Amino acid sequence: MDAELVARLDALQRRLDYVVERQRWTESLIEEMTPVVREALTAVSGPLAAAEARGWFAAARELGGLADRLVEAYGPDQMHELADHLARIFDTVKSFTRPEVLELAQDAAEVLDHADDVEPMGFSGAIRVMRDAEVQRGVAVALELLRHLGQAHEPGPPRPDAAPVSPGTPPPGVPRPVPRAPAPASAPAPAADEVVTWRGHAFTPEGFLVDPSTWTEELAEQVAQALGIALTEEHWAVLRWARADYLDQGASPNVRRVAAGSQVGIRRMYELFPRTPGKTTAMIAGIPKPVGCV
Amino acid sequence: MSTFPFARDEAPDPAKRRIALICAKGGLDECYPVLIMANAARMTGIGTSVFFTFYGLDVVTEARVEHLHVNLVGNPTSPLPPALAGLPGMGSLTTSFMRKKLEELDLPGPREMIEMLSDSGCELYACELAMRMFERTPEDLLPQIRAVITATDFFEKTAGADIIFV
Repeated sequence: MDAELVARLDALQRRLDYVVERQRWTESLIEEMTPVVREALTAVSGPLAAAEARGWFAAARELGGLADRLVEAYGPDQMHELADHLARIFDTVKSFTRPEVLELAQDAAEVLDHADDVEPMGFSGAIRVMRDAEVQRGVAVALELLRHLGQAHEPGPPRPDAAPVSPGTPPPGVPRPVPRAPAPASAPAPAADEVVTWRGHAFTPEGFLVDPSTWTEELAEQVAQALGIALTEEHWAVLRWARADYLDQGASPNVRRVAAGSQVGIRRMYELFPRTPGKTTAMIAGIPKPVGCV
Repeated sequence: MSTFPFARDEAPDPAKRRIALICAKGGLDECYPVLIMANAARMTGIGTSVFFTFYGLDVVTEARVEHLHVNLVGNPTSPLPPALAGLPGMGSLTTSFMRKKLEELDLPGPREMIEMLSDSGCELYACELAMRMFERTPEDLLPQIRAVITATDFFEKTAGADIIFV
């Protein structure tokens, strides 16, 4: 019994020794590895920091956001179309990365870097500079480029996603000439459900005869009476002139026009047809409500 | 069926609904809104009074009413850039352009607008303090001006009206 116990303890002792030994190895390994790992970390973090400084991560994040937006904004069909265009895009990129083009871009960047040194130039300065052969050549190239841009906008098959560009259309930002506003027309005819019938005639809710051709002098008397106006010959002169003018012009005259046309004068108009002389005249004369504020 | 759709009782009553406009600027473009709004108010049956004060006095001054100008300088909505707005002749150019536009729209000139307002029963007043400031006498004003009164008088006369400063 005891011998068995001793044997077991012995085995345990040997295992413990082994564990302790391994622990010691590990410790020494860590001790030895620490400087190496530190060095390695430093070595890695250096380029990472540099990348950070150069905006790689920000750029990557932006790219991610761009991808998100692409997915949100474009359907599978459009992505497919985009893929079809990739070859062309790569061609373009290739032609852009030609040494001479890159050199040009570098030149342009250098010029922009020194933009602070450039003196502001007036019109005469620009003319003077035009004598320079290099500037002349540059202008010629720029004009050629502009000509190509113009050709690209010549009427072709209209792109479905873009507003149609016709030859005469000015570039965006230039307002088109506004056509002259038509002469103020009379109020539009009301919808059928907005009509009130009174004495066998259809009126708008405001009290204007819907169909001026159904007007009679008898109706005028009735309307005037309903409005509290006893029609005199002076009233009639105004009403007849307003009606004739409406039939002639296709639009109801306003107070100023009636006052001048019937030679009654504005002051008298406000006495003959109190409060709202223009509207009241039109109402009794069986013509639409006059439009306009003068 | 027997009552007329537009009963007389519903008609606007100039005694019940009143507005009081204060015209304090004398530019051609600055006085037109006042004159047009006042006229439209009268046509709608609204009791209307207009108080001409400070440079607005020019609009009702006999010697000035035909020479109202469009002032471009200091006008943030001017169609011309500020550097050009101050050039000599620009004001006259814009003024004649606006006169032409007003004519095209069949809008009467300021003098005729004032006559129309007066005829339509709009009450026109000139500011007493502005009259003294610009050394004008009632004889210098258009005959359509009902009276030269103080601002206090004007507010008393237009009690209950909506006051609109233009």
